[in-house]
Amino acid sequence: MSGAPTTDAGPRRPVLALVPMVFGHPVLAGLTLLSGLLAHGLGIAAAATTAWMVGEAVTGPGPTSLSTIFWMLVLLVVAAALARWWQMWVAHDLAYRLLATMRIRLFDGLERRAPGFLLGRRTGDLAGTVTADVETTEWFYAHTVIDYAVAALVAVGSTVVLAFFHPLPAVVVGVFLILLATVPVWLAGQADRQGRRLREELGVLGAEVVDGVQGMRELVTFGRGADYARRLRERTRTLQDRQLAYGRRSGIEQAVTDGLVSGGFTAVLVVTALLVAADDLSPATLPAVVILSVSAFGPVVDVTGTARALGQIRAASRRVFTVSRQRPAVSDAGTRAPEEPLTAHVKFEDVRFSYTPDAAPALDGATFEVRPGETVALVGHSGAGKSTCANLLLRFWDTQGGAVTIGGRDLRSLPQRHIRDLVTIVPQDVYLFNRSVKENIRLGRPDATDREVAEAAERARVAEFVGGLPDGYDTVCGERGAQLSGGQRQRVAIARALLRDRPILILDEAVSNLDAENEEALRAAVRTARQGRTTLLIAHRLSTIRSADRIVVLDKGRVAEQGTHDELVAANGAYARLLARQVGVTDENDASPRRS
Amino acid sequence: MMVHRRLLTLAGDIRFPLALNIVLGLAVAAAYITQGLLVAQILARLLDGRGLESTTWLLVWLAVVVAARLVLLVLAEVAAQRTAHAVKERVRGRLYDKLLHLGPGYLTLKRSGDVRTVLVDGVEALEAYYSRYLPTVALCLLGPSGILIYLATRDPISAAIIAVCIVLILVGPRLLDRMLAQKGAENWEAYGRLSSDYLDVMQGMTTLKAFNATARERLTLSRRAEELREATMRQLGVSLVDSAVTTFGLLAGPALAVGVAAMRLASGSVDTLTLLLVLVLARECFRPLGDLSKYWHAGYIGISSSKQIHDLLREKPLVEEPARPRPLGAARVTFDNVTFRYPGRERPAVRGFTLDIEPGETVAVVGPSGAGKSTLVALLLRYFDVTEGGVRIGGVNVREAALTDLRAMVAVVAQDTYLFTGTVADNIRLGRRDAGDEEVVEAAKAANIHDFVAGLPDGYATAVSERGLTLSGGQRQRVAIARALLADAPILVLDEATSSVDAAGEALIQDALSRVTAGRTTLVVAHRLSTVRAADRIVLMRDGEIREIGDHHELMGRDGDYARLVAAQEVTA
Repeated sequence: MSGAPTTDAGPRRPVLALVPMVFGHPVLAGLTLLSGLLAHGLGIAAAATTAWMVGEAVTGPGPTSLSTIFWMLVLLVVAAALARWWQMWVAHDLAYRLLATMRIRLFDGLERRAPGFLLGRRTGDLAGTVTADVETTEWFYAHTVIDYAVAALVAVGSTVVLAFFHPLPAVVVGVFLILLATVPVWLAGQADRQGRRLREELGVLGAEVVDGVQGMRELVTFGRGADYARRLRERTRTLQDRQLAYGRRSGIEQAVTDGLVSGGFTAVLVVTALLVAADDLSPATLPAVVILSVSAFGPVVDVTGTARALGQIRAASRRVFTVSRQRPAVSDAGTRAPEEPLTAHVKFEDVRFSYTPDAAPALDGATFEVRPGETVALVGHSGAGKSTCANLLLRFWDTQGGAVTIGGRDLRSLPQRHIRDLVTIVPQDVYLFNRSVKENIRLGRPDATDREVAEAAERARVAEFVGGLPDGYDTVCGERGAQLSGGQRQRVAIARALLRDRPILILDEAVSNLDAENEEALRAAVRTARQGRTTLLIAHRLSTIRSADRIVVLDKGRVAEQGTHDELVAANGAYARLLARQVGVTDENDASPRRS
Repeated sequence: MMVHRRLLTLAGDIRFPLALNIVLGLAVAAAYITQGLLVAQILARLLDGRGLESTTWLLVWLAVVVAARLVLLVLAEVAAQRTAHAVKERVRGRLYDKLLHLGPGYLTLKRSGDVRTVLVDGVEALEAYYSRYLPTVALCLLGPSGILIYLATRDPISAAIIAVCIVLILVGPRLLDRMLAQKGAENWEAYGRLSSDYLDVMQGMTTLKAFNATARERLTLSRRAEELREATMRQLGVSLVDSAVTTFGLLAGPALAVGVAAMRLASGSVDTLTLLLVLVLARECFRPLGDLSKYWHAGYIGISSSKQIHDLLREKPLVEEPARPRPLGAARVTFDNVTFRYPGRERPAVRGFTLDIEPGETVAVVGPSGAGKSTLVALLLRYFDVTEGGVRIGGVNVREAALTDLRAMVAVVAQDTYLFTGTVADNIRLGRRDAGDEEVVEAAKAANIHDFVAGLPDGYATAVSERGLTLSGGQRQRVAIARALLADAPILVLDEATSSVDAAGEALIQDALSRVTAGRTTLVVAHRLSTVRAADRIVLMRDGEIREIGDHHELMGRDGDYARLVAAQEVTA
C-alpha cells in the first residue's frame, strides 16, 4: 500500500512539493545552478570591470594598463553571453526531463484510480486538464526554482566581494537585500486573497461564456441574445474590478521594490563617498563599489517578478499531485495467481458495494451466478447496479460485503492482472484510440498476427465496413474514434474481445434507442462473441434479452427475479413490468394514449 | 515585425489609453535618466575630491526623483491594466456579437470548447500584449533615441557604439526568428502529436486497464517522451541563441561604450563628466530593451491567440437577413423539395425532402442517427439556408422573413435544453422576458414541473448551475415545455435526445406535451416510441430522404424500416 496522502484536496503546499523532484536529477540540477551562477557572476564581473576601468581612467593610470582591462572586459562579455545560453539550455533540459517523469507519474496515478472519479470528474475527462497542467509546471522548472537559488547565491556572493573592498558598503547592501527579499511576504496574504478571487471570477466568466455558447439555440430562438451579450459585458467588468485591485497591489509591490533598490544604491553611494573622503577607500574603486552593489540587487529583483506566475503553478501542481499521489482503488498485496487454471464459473454472493461512503449502495446484497458457458442477461432500470457488476467482475473495485468469485476463488485473493486475463469486456461506451483500426483490434493481444486480426474482424463483422474506409485496416480512427459510427465502434470492440479470446465475457450493450444501425450485423457479431464463453450480458433490448439462457432482474442493487424469459413473463413480476413499457411490441393493440 | 497590424485593428481605437500608458512610461524613464544624471554629477564631484558636502543638494534631488518614480510606477501599472481592460472588453463584446450573428448553426459546425477557449482564455491572452509589450515598444523607440540624441551632442562616438548594440538587440533575434520558424514549427508539431497521444492514452485508461495493456503503453509512452525531449533540446540549442544574443547586446553595449570612452579619457579626448554620463546613461538606454525581450515572450501568446480571434471575427454569417423582410403567414410548415449539404461535405444531409405540415397537425420524424432529422429543424429555424428547394411558413419563404420574426414564430422543446446559470424562474422566463411570477408558475404547472420545483429548497428561486441543482433529461424537457408555453409560439419543434427517461417521468412528459401541442403545428424529432406513435403522421427518414410515411398502425402493418426499429426498441436503461 502506498503511504501517500489520498485526499482529493492535494498537498497543502503544492508548489513546494514540486521542488523535491529536482533532486531526482542531481547532476543536471547542479549544472543548472552552476550555469546560472556563471551567467550572473560573469555579467556582474563585466559591469564591475567597466566601473573599475572608469575609476582607473579618472584617477590616472594604475598598475594595469587600460587596454588590458578593456580586452578583459570584452572577454567577460562574450563569456557571460555564452554562459547565459548554457544556463537556458541546461535549465530546459532539466525541465523537460522532469516533465517526462511527471507525465509517467500522472499516468500511474490515473491507472490506479481508473475508471472512478477524481476531483469530482470522471478520470477520462480529467485527463485533459492534467495534461495541460504538466505543461504549466515547465515554467516552474525552467524559469523559477533554480533561479531563486541562483539569485540568493549571487546576492550573497556580490555582498562578499563587496566586503573585500570594505565591510561597510557590504553591510548596507545586506540590509537592503534582506528588506527586498521580504517584499512579497509583506503583501502575501492580500496577494493570495486577490489571486483567489481573481481566479474565481475568471471561472465565473468562463461558465457564463459556456452558458452563452451551449445555450445559443435557446437564446436565439427566444430572441434573448442581446440580453445575454449585456450580461456578459457586466461580468467582464466585474472581472476587471478584481484585476484592477490585483494590479494596484502588484504595482505597489513593484514600486516598493524599485524604491528599495534606489534607496540601497543611494545609501551605498553616500557611505562609499564618506569612506573615500576619510581615505579608507581609494577613489578609483568608487565606481566599482557602486556598480557591484547595484548588481547584487539585479537577480533578486528578477525573481520577485516571477513570483507572479506562482498562483497558476500552484493550482496546476495541486491537481497534478492529487492525481499522481492517488492510492490504488484495489491493491494486490499478498495475492498470488492460482497454480491450477480456474473454471469460468462466476458467482456474486450477497455482494454489497457503494462507490463512495456517503453514496447510496450500488449493490445491496446481490446474489446470482453465471455457470460455465452460460449467458446471463442483467436487466433493470438505469442505476439498478448492472454496470457495477461489470466493474466488480473486472476488479476495478473491491466488494465491501459478500464476494465475487471465479471458479470458487474470491477475486480479492487474485492479482488484478490475472483476473483481466480471464475476463474481457465489450463496453457500452467503446473507447477507440487514435490509431489504426488494426492496432485498435490488436489491443486485446499485441502479438496477434495480421491474419488473426483479420479473422477476428471478419467474425465481428468489422471486415464488411472496413473496405469502405479510406485506408482499410490502416485507417486511423480519429479522436475518440470519431471517424467511425457508434455501431462500427461497437463491432471493433467485439473484434478486440474475440482476438483476446478469454473464457469470461462481459457484453455491455449500447443504449441507442431507435438509432440502432446495421442492427443485424451487430447482433450477429455479439452471437459469435458469446459462443463457448461464460457471458454476462448487460442488455437493454428485448431481442438481446431473449437470446440469453437466463435473465437476472436487478432492482436497487438487489436481484428482484431470475429465470428464463418465459418463466419471468409467466411470473408477471418486475420483469413483466419492465417489458410493459415497451409499447408497440408487447401489446400491439392498445389505444393511443393521447390525441390533441 | 515589432507591432502587429492585426492586433491593432482588433482593439479598435485605443489611442488615448495607450498614449497615457506611454506618457507614464516615459515619465518613469525620465525619472531613471534624471537619477542617472544626478548620480553622474555626484560621482564626478566625489572623484574630483570635492567631498560629500558639495553633493548635499544633489542627494536631496535624488531622493525626490526616486519618490516621484514610486508614485509614477503605481500609476503606470494601473494605466496598463486599464488599457488591457478596455481592449478585452471590446474584443469580447465584438466576439459575442459576432457569435450571435453567426447563430447556432455555426456552433454545430465547431467544437464548443474551442469557442469558449477563444472567448475566455484567448481574450485574456491579449492582455500582456496591450498592457506591457505595446507600451514598451514605444518606450524603446522614444527613450533610447532621446538619450542617444543628448549623448551625441556630448560624445558622438559613445552614442554610435550604443546605437549599434541597440540595433543588434532589436534586429538580431528577430532575424533568427525567421530562420528558426521552420524548425520550430516542425518540433512543435511533433510535440503536439505526443501531447495528443498522451491525452488519448490517459482518456482510454479504463480500456487499457481492462485489457492488461497499461504496462505496455507506459513503456511506449516513456520511450517516445524521451525521444521528443531529445528533439526539443536539439532545437532549443539553436533557438536559445536568441536570448544569448540579447544578453550579449545588453552587456556589450554599456561595456564597450564605457570602455572606449575610458580609454579616450586617458588620451584626453573626453572629460570626466562625459565618461560618467556614458556610464549611467548607457544603462538607461538598455533598460527598456531588457524589458522588451521579457515582454516579447509574454506578448507572444497574445499574437497567436489574436489569429484565432481574428479568424472568428471574419467568419461569414451562414444566413443573411433579407433587405425588406416579409411578415410570415399562418402556421403551415412546408418543406418543398429541400436539399441541403453541410459546408465542406460531399453528401447532402437532406435531399429532395418534401413535407407539408398542416396548421395544428403533429408530424413525427424518425430514423437512424445521421438520417437528417435534426437538419430539418435547423433548416426550419434557418440556422442554415437550404442548398436547393425552399422552406416556407404560411407560404412565405423563411429567407424572406426577418430572423427575429421567424424565431418568434417557432418554439423549440429540447430534451437537452440548456439551463442557464440563474434561478429556476429565470430559466422558465427565458420563454418570455416580461412574464409575471404567476404566469411562470402557471406555465410550470401546465408543464408538470411545478411540483418538482415547489419541492426544491428555495422553490422557484433555487439556483441552477453546474455545481448547483442538476436536472434529469426529463425534468429539463419539462422546463423547456414551460418555456414554450410562455413563449406561446404557433409552431412547436420537439427535439428529443437519446437519453432515457424513467416510466414516471415519461408519463409526466406525455401529459405536458399533450397540453403544449394542442392547437399548435408540431414537428417532432423523436427517438422514443411513446412520443412518436401518437403523431398524426410519422415520417421515416434514412440517408436524408423520406422512406416511409403514414401513421403508426399503417407503418407497423408495412413491415418496413419502421417496424424493424420498433422491434429493436429498448425495454430498460
